[in-house]
Amino acid sequence: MAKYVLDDTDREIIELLQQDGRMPFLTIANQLGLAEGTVRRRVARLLDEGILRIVGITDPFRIGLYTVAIVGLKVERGRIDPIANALAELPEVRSVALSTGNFDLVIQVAVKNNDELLTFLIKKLSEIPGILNTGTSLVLKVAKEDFGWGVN
Amino acid sequence: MPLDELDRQILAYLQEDGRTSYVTLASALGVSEGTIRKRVRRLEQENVVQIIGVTDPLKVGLDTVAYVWFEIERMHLEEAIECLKLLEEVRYLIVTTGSHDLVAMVVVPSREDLVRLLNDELSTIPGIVSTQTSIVLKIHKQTYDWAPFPKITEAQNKEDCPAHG
Repeated sequence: MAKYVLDDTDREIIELLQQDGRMPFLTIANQLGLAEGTVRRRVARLLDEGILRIVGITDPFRIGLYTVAIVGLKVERGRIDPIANALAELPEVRSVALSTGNFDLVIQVAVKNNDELLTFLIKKLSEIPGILNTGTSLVLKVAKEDFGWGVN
Repeated sequence: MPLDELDRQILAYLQEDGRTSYVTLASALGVSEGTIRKRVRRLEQENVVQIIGVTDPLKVGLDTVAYVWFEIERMHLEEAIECLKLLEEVRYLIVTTGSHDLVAMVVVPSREDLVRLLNDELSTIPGIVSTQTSIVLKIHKQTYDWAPFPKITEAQNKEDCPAHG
């Protein structure tokens, strides 16, 4: 299938949904001078293609997950993919990125407290073969979190 | 704001699909639509949840995602945070402990933009002692469901993982 290319209408729709994910399609249609069906079809397409997701993003510190960390991992060459998949299965792991540089993988972890982080680092990670070493950056404060990319 | 079981169940649904209708939520959770509406409004007002559209950067022409670790001179820490926050390219910035002081997630259109950011823009920010950059080659997992709300999380993981078939 050809790669979906965003046009200006897609970008305008996305921009509104980045402000309010529950904005009614009729409101979007009226603001942009489109038919409601057009907006509905466009959004369905963007969701199908995985370009856009509409999600409730919770603040970890407000829902009882008081320990958030970014962990960089060095792993054995040739084992990156199985290790990335094993990490992705763990519910504590919010994101897994394969990277270059100091670390082969960078993950974000959210747990209830430092005890759980310790269990995660010592027990859960050691059950995954091939991890050589890790560097853990404990999040003291989120200074900025902005999901509004991709329309400008 | 303390969360009760109903709040948590509502959040679990919204984390999966932010546009789940209030009617659907009401019938799934056995409460009235008005109750759902009030709860969601309160969760949003208290900043427990924000319901928004999020794009996949690699699918909207932002081809370079990187993590940058910073070591900052202590006396300039606050100033450096304020300056970094102002950069549009910096999407996520945290204050941390350990061998580094700050970690940023950066999203830009190309490698050239990343080089420009690292060489030009960062050089004007006071107190940066060193940076280490990890360029993201592939995003294996990106969830926004911070809380491991058991029912939905388990179902999702199994669906996405063939090994669990």
